[in-house]
Amino acid sequence: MTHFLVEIHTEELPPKALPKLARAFLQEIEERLRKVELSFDATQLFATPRRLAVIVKNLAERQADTLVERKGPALQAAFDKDNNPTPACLGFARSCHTTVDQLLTIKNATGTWVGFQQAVLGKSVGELLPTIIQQALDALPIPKRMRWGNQTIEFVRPVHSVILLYGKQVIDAEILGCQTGRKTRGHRFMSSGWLDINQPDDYSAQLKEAFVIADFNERKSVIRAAAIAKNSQVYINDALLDEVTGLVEWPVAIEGNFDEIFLAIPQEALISAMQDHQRYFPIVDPNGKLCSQFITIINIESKDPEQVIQGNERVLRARLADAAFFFETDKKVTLDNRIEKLKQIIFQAKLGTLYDKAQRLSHLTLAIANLIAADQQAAARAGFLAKADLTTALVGEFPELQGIAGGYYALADGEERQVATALSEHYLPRFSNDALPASTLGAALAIADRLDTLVGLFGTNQPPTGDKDPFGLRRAAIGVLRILIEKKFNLDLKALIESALSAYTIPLENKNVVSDVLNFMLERLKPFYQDQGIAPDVLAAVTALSISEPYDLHCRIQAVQRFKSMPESNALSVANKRVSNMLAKLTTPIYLHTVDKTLFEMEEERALFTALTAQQKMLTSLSDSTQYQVILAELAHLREPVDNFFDKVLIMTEDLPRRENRLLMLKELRELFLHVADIALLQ
Amino acid sequence: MTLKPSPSQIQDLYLDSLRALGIDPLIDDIRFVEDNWEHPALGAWGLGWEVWQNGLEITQFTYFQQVGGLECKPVSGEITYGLERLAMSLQGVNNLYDLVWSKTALGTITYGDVFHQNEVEMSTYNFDLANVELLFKQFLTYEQESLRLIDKGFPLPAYEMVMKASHTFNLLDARGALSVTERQQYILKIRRLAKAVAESYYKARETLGFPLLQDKIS
Repeated sequence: MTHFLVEIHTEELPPKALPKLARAFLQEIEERLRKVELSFDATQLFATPRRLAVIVKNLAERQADTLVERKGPALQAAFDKDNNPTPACLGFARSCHTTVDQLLTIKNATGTWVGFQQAVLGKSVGELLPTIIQQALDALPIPKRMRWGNQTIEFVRPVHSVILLYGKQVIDAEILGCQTGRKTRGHRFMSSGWLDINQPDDYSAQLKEAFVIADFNERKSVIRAAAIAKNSQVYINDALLDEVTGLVEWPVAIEGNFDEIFLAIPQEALISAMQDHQRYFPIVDPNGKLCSQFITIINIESKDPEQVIQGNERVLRARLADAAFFFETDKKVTLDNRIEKLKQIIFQAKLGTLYDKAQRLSHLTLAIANLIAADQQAAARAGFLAKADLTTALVGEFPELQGIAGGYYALADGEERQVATALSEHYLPRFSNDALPASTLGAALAIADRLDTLVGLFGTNQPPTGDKDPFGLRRAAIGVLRILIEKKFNLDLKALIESALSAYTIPLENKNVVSDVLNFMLERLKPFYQDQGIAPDVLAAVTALSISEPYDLHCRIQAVQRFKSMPESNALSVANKRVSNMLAKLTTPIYLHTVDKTLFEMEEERALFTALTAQQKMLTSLSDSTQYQVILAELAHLREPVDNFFDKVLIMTEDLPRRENRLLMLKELRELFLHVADIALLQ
Repeated sequence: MTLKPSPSQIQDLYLDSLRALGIDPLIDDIRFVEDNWEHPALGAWGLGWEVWQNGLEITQFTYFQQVGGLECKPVSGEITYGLERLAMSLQGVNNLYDLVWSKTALGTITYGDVFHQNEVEMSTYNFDLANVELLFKQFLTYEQESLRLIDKGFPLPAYEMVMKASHTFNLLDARGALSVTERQQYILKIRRLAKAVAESYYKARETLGFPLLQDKIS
């Protein structure tokens, strides 16, 4: 059986995009092989800084041959009365490259024709693969393609060679400006010259001899093991491990040190300098305290590792010395004294400076604190100081430390501890699945900061459009929703938005800002719940009630989700739909206010009435919003009496008082469910 | 340093230049780490890397894709060496000012001997002393002069004026004389000039029949 190898050998690819790029390359190839019906067993993926490669195992050599039937003129038009072929028939035979005696007769229900069966030979891999590979490359998700030299070809980075090997045979083609062959190169420094790959099976081993571990996942585990072998207390961040794996072909771990005096700098700054700036792995002791060592993964078995270690230590020392200098210098001016400097920083062209924002945050955080039992004085203080750290040199150098730096400086200034904690937490959550502020005050400030931005930008008609969201408003909306829902703050979002609007002292152009922001935020619930596996109909059943308390919405959604899995749910949902349609069609209102028992004719009416009355009693005893699940579980008992009622009772009877009485019971049935959700919307 | 069009072996040429400087890539860990360069005010950007030597950025390496808002064709490869950093690593020095500039009969002259006073004076001037009012006037003059020259079809002196305007903007920025919105407006002003100069230069070369783009082999 024959395997197939494609390798694109390039200059250094972007490490963060590499895994995604490689996976897409594999998928695009597999998809196209399936489409042309070339069978294969399995595929294998390779990705390094300088190559993308795929091996397809046991790839069929050619497509299966097929017989294609062509239909010619109708039989009576094909031959004249003397049974000689007409010009139409001769023309058809010619177009099939055959003679009249080779034509067949095709007969079906609608008539009879002359026809021809043509054998179509399946295409070979040699014919199919060049196009498949070219199309797969064109389909890759590359945000910015580049050109190089005099070429018009575009790719992620310049391409140096392309391998197309089917077994031991090269498939000839020109791809990305390269004549295909079997040549590639090994490690940039530890190997030299070109390497001829014999056949796909030898690819990985031949590259390993040339100091390249081509398999991304293999290299990743080698790196993890090498780092742990150097120091078992190494802290390995997964995203960083992926990035480092995309930066080396022949990983070697080395360990360096920095001066312990730098441990006095905020730990987050040290970690940021190591991970984000230098791609080093920090060392953390079992108590979570940072140590003065680091691991870095280099791309060479150096002839003098000591020189490499010293070089890396020198770079880190310079960065940490800067951080230490900034930290000490920043502390000489208190956050309180920095507020004036915020007048120099524009928050947003139409919305004034960060100083204005600080004033608003102070009011808004206080208002929110009032609602969730946080200290009001501390809230006003935290809102006022929240943005002051943006004027520090430390945040200038390490922008990712915004907020965290403010927390440290607040403590140094002698601010209350809860104020400092709120400052350091208020940018949380920064991304999906990030932690939330742990403290209530931090949560209040986090909500205030985001609502202020949402109201300001919607108020000046700058909402996100399409995939453009330059101010991160979608993320801000989800952040607020997550805090309200997961921290169980049952607050009315509409009132919060109004509160944020009232903190603005300048008029905002958009007069519908409150409803625009509210709708935008509630719209975010769709992707939010979709990610949690909640079906759209469950969400729709709840949002139909126009509730603007996200936590309350959340409790209802959980209850409906559970209700949907109960055996009674389907029948009750159908019943609700029916009732809803009936009521909608009524041309006159129901004048009756209470059900009249004397009008009952049938046992099923009485039974439904008894059941409804019991459920209404149950509802008044379970008014707490957290009880939605219990309520729906109770309401499920209505299934039997409702089904029987619909089966046996004629609702739209000509006897008008009875008709109204029956409709009223159904209306009450529907109102019972609407206490939780509109389950008529369940699918 | 710019190579146009970027030769296919440009990375190897660059690495040979490091070897010529005395850097051994079999000892040091040399890597090309994604870093894309962009100068919005000049409508210029490219893709490439920062080059690391043992974790230290020693070079910015860029394949220019656009300049003055025009597509580059052919593409230039730009190699920006960090000379001081390279020298520090070669001399094993931790402080820039301790670099040996030259060894003379009168003793060793360091980088600090040559440049320290300049660094102090220029930094003080740039950050504290530069006359903001004068700089605003100069910016306006350079801008108008550039526009006048573009109008007359003299892209090269017009380009000189853009550079001066851009430098004046940098000085104003260092003095903290520009609010965020003003800053954006000045960047857009320079961008407009740069684009007009690039288009004017392109037209001038087109009139000449792009003499440097002719195939010399045939």
